[in-house]
Amino acid sequence: MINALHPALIFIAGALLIPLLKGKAKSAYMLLLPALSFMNLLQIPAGQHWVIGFLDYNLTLCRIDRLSMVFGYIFHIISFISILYALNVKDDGQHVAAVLYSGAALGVVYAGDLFTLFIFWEIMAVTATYLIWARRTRASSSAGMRYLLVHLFGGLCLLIGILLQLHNTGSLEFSHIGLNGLASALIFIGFGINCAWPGFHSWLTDAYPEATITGTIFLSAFTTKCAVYALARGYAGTDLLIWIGAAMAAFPIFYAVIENDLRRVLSYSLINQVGFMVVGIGIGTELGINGAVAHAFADILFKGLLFMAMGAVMHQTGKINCTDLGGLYKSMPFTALFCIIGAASISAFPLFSAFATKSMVMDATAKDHLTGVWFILLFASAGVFHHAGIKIPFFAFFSHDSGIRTKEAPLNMLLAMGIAAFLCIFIGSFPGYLYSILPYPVDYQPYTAPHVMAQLQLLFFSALAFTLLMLSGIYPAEIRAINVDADWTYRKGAKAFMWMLTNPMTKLGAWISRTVFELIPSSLGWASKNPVAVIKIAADSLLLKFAVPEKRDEIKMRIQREKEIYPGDIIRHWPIGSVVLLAILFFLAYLLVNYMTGAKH
Amino acid sequence: MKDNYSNKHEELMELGHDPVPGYRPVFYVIMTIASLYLALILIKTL
Amino acid sequence: MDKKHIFDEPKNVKRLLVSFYAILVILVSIDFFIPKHPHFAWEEWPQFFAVYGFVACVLLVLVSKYVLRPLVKRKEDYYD
Repeated sequence: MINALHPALIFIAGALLIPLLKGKAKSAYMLLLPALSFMNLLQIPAGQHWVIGFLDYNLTLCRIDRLSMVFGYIFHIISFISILYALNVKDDGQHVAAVLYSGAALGVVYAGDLFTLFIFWEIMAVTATYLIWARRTRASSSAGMRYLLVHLFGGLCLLIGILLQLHNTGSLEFSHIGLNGLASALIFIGFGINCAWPGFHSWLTDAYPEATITGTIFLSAFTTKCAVYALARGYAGTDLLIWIGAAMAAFPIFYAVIENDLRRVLSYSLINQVGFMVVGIGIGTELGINGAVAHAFADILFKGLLFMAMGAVMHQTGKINCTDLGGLYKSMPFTALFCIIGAASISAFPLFSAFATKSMVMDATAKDHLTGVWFILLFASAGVFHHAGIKIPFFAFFSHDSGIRTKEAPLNMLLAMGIAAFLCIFIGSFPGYLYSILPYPVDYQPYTAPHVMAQLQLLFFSALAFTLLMLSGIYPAEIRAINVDADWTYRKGAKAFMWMLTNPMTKLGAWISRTVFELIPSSLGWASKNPVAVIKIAADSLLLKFAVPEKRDEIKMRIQREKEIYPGDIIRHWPIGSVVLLAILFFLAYLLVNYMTGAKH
Repeated sequence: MKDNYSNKHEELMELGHDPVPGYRPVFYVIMTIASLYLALILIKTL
Repeated sequence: MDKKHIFDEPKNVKRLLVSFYAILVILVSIDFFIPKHPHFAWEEWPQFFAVYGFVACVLLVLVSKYVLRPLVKRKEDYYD
């Protein structure tokens, strides 16, 4: 028996104690959680642990191998950084949700079976939703609701897929699945929704910019990367992923160019970066998987850093739109510096992290002779520099002076950004350490003269394009506006559905309820008082329709009289003998029917 | 947490980018040369 | 009054631009002397990555501005 706790336990149990502590003790405790959890993680040997029986099945709560460990390391690092960044937030709910969310992410990557994975997957969806709602604006509450609904739908696909898979194979084990039939396709889509595939991506660009300043740092790190992990584990080498990934890398950059909200620009670029990882997974070679995982590791840090820098700007100025910002390097020089380091890292400048990781995916594409994908990824690499590398720092910190003067971000935020910036440069400058923890042995050298040269040319001439477009006035103006995306389908779709409900549907409903519950019962009640008289009235009314004109007045008079005396004296019109006769006739008919149907048997 | 600096700041609806005279022809020339050269490379090698 | 910052001085902006152009010239010149061992034939052509990066970014911006924006731009209260 091993002498350690489950890797997610310290976060999940520890989160619940956060509200009990106050002041410095709370800060120290929160920073201690990832550190303790990390030391605990190192005590667990490779292999499968905590295998428990559940109904008739075995659940493997923890599987330690090289793939899960890379994600475990980076999740601990980023949760430490994000907690540090969030220390000045005075909202226990957010702290608890963020730490639970981080713990659930660890639960996902260490889950050895699909059912355990699903449970943690759903905890992530709920806690993430809280981090969006905690902003407490009208926009965040509706974006959070949409986020929750999309993820519940994704979770449902996943659950149905898992149950079908269990039915087909009799096993819950989470290993390579591959696309082969309905069960695997549903699980694939369940992962894909969290991975922000094109068409399923708009929960991300919808919700992340509406979440709290610190919540977004956690969100940007875990949900999509857990999906990347799950795809790498279950669907490595699935060709479809190459094209999905290429589409993810390419289309968001167009949106990012015209987007005004800088955190939304980063959300689009997050999809763009995950695209590179998905391509690597789709290629499925050792280099491809290594590249995908390494890039996930680097991306968590530089994307976190960029979101932290934008969060710091938002925290100090209350603004995040290009149209409102500019010139902030004067007031927030350190944040500007860290932002530039993050920008250089995401753009894959030599000595910065993505240079050592994204290029592995590019190389894997080239080795498989995927010419079209290679061109798309190269286009996306130039584009990412354009919108994330230049646009983010330029419009926030330089550009035209917005006149905003403020203070530098709080110390804890600066420290968190500093650590992330240091790691970005460290990974880029000494990639060997990251390479040594990747799932497969690495035989890749990023620092060759032609690679450095190619990358520098690509980036500097992208920068030239930006400069010339700016100076010649062709660069599109930043405009306060909404750019509709795939979320249009359900945001406007839901409105159309609600209109259907409130207009034609309610009218139909009102008509049905009036007819069924009022008109019919009351007329039946009226008719039952004297059915024979009703029949008489009905018969006379019918007669009136066909009667010759000279008879009409007489019939009208009769109907009027019949209605006046209705229900009338039933007994007088119907002596008892007639009733008995009717009853006898009825019984006779009944007997006849009974006899005839009985005779058949 | 708003700071206590007085921000003489009005929110823009649109942030345009004014052209600097003389740059547009430069841009057109470079773009033309780059496109033609790229087309040449791709025609020769693809 | 506000103190002068580094880019408030037009001279400094000009310096930045000049050094940027100088770097471009250097990159273009030394590219001829870099030995290449590429996967694809077009990577061997001098300045391939420079022109690709430039053209890609210009196309990216033009398509975003003239194709995507007219298609997707709505008023800020579109969803309210």
